[in-house]
Amino acid sequence: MPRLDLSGFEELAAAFDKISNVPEDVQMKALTEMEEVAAAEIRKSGEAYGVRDPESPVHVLDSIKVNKPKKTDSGGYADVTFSGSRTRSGKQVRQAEIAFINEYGKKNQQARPFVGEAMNKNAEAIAKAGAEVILDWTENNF
Amino acid sequence: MSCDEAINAAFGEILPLFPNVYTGEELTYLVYNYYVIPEVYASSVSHASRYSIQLHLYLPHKENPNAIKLAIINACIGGGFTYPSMTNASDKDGQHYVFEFEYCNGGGVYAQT
Repeated sequence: MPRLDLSGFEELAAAFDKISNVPEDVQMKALTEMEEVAAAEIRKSGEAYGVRDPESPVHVLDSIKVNKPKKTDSGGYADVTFSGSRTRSGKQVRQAEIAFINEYGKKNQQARPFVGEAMNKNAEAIAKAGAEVILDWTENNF
Repeated sequence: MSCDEAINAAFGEILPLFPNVYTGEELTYLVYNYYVIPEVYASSVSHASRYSIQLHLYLPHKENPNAIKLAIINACIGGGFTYPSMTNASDKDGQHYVFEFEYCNGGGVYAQT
């Protein structure tokens, strides 16, 4: 007669206990590390797509900003943004708008989805950067 | 079926469909582009490919896009793609809707593209 065993619940519960005790500053540090990896990969992807305009002194890839993480009831979040603006043909244009047009293209201009591709292809590396901060804290505090 | 074949089979009858960019005279048309992510590794060789696709619907401001949008969503479902998300990227030159979805096939990147 076959026998089925289930085990490991105590270890699993202990692991959740550890995670629930991770302090806010460690959570925020994990988010910042994830942002840093995401920003670097977005920049790299933009270079590969040829998003950089060599004639522009203030470029969209140099405007990628890692913002301070924010706390929420369920954890926190962090935004990687394109900050500032630049003058184009005498008109002030936000860097975020330039990034949007690159990402989605427009009539007669091919889309260069450099943000989506960077996030999609590096999802594991981005998560790992945060996980390492959490794991480091749990290993040193339990 | 390759990704290009699947896209042409699913969307080619809705409107004129072009890869990457279109610079012709049509006013209402579709354009697609995609990048490929290799998946399912065994012995460092990819045995499946995941395609992240953007399908762009361009049309003049005066036209109602609803029937075409619905046809695109139905073609995604019927064509073996994931359900699409949609971003409105319209500007002064006309309406522009970007549908984003995925497609998967076996054989790895180099066998199927």
